[in-house]
Amino acid sequence: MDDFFGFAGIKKDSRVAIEVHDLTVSYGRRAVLYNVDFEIEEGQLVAVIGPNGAGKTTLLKTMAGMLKPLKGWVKIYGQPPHKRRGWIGYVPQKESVDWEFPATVLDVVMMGTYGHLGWFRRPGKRERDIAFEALREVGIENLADRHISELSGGQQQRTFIARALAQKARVYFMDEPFAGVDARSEEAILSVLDKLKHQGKTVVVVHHDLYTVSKFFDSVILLNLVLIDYGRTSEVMTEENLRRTYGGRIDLVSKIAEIVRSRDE
Amino acid sequence: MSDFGVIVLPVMLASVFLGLAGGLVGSITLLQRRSLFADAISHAAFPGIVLAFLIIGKREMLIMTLGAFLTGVIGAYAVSSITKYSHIKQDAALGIILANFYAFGVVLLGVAQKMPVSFQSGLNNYLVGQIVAVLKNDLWFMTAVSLAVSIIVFLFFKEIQLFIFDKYTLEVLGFKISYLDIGLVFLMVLTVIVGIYTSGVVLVVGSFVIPGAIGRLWSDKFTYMLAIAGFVGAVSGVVGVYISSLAPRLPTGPLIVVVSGIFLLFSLLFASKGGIIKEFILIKSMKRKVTEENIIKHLYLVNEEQLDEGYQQLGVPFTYLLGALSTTPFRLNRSLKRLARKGYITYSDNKAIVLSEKGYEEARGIVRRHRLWETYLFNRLSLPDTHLHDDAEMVEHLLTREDEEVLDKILNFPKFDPHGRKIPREV
Repeated sequence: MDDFFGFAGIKKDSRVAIEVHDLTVSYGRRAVLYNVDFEIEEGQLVAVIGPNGAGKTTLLKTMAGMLKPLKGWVKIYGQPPHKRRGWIGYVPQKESVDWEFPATVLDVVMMGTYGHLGWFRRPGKRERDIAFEALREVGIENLADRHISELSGGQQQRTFIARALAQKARVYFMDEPFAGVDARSEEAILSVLDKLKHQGKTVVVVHHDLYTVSKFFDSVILLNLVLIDYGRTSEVMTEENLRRTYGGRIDLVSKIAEIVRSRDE
Repeated sequence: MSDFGVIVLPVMLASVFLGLAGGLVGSITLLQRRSLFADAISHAAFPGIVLAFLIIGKREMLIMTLGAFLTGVIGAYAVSSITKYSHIKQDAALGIILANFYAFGVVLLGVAQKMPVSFQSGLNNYLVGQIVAVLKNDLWFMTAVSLAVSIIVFLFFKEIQLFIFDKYTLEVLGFKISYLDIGLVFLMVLTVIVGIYTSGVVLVVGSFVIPGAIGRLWSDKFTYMLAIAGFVGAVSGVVGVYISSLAPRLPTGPLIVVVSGIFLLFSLLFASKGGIIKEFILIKSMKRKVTEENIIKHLYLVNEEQLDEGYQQLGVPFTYLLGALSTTPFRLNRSLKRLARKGYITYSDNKAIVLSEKGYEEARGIVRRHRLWETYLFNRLSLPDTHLHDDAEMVEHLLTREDEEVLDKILNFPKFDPHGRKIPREV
C-alpha cells in the first residue's frame, strides 16, 4: 500500500476519475456490452439506467475490476482497476449474498476495512470506530448488534452502503442500492450519496427510478448493450433517448443481441 | 502409566485435534453448502487409499494419504466437469461420482483381501473408522495435519468469512480470491482424508458437518459458530474414541457420529437460533394472540352499533362466542381467563362477557387495522370486494401500529371500508 491516497498518480489538473474506452464484455459466447466509451470526472454523481439485461451490472463489475473485458479498457485515475484496489468501493446487489450467513450488522460493515488491513491482520478498535462512523452516516448505528437476517430490505441496503463507506474509497460503484427500499432508507441513502459527492468522491449508481435520477444525479449513462448516450442529466434525459434506451429494437445491435438471447434460452 | 503415555495420549490428542479441525472445516463446508460435495470427496478418496496400499504393499499413511488426495481431487474435478459440461445437474453428478468411486474402492479392497491375511489386515477399518488400529506415528501425523488446518483457519479467519459471505467484494478489496477458493477446497480434502482414519469413508463428513450445524444453531456470529463447532467436534471425538476403547470391537466412526448426533438433537430442540422448541413456543403464542384478539373483536362487533349511538354495552354470553369462534369450550374458557387477567374483559352479573375500557380500545384497533387493510387491497391492489375479508382476517393480527399509520397515510385517512362500514378511529 504505497501511495495509499493515490496522490502520486494524479496531476493537479487531471480530474478524470473513471475512463472507459471501447469496452466490450462477454459472458461466454454472449456479448453483453459493446464498444462502450465514456469519461467520468471526479466528484460526480452518475446514474446508470437501462432495461433488464442491458449490461448495467456487467459495466459496474468491469469498472470495479471483477470482470475482464474482451476488448478495450477501464482506468481508475489513470490505472487499471486491479492496480487501484484500495480506491474502489463496491456495493453489490442485495440478492447476491446469503443474508442467513452468521454475521451481525457490525461484522458486515467491518468487512469494508479488510482491504486496508491486508492478509492476516485482524480488525481492532480503529476498524470498529470506522465501522460505527459508517453506521452513523447511514443512520443505523442502533442496529449494530442485530443479525443481518433480521433487517428490512432498506436496512440491508444501508448496511452494504456503510460497508462501502468503511472502505474509504475514492470511487464508488453501487448496484441498485435503492431496490426494495422504504422511504426512510431512500432518504438516508440519498443523503449519503450527496455527502460523498461533496467530499469529492465519484459515485456511479445503477438505478431505476427516473424521477430520482433527474432530480439528484449530475450525469446519466443510458445503456442498452451499447452506450445510448452519456452526459449531464438535464441534457441527455430526453424522451428520444429514453425511447431508444427502453424501446428495444431500435438498431441492429440490439436486434442481434435479442436473437442471441433467445437462442441461449 | 507408561501404557497411558504410549497409546492413550496419542489417540486422545489425535481425536481432540481432528475433532477441532473437523468442526472448523465442517462449519465452512456447511456455510458454503458443500456438505454433499465433501461427502463425494471422501468416497472418491477411498480407492486412492487402497490403490496406494496395493502399489507399495504396506500401510504407510503418508503414501496412502497422497493416493487418497489424488483420487479425491479427481472425484471433485469430475463432479464439477459433469455439472459444467453436461446436462446432468449437480445432485446427480455427486451421486454418480460418490457411488462409482466408492464401488471401485470396494472392488480394489476385494482384490487386496485375496492377499495373505497379515499383509492386508485392517484395510476395511477405513470403511467405518477404527482409531485404535492406527499406528502411533500415524497418530502424530494426523494430529499435526489437524493442528495445521486449525491454525490456518484461525489465521485466515477474516478472509474466509468474507469469502463465504460475499467473495466478489473480497476481490474488490484486493484479495486474490482464486487462492482462497483453491485453498479452502484443499483444506477440506485434506481434513476429510485424515478424518477417514478415525471416522471412516462413509461417516467422516457427517462427523464434521454435525458440529458445524450445532455451532450455527447456537450462534449468529461466525466467530462463535466456529468456536462452538470446534469444541463440539473435539468433545465428540474424545467421547467417541473413549467409548470405542472400552470395547475394542466397536468402530470409532459411528460412535463419534452418534455422540455428536445426540448433541445435535439436543440443539435442534433447545437452541437459541432456530431451535424447534423455541419456534414451537413462538407459533403457540401467535395462535393464542390470534384467538384472544378474535374474542375481543367479536365482543366489539356485536356492540358496534349500540356503542356508536351512545348506548350501554351489552354483555355477550359464553355460548355465543363458542359458536362464533369455532373453538372448544375448554380453549375458549382458557383464553377468556387470560383476557380477564390482562384486564381486557370483565363479567357482568349474569355471567355475560363485557369488554373493559382497555379491551374496547384494543378491539377498536384490531377492527381498524382489518378495515384499513381491506380498503388498501380494494383501492390499491384492485381486488374485488369478495376477496378482501379472509385476507384481512389474517393480516389484522400481524400489522403493527406503525404499519397502521403508514396505511392510513397512504390511503389518505379513509372514513369507510369498501363494504361501507365505518373505520373506527381514536377520538
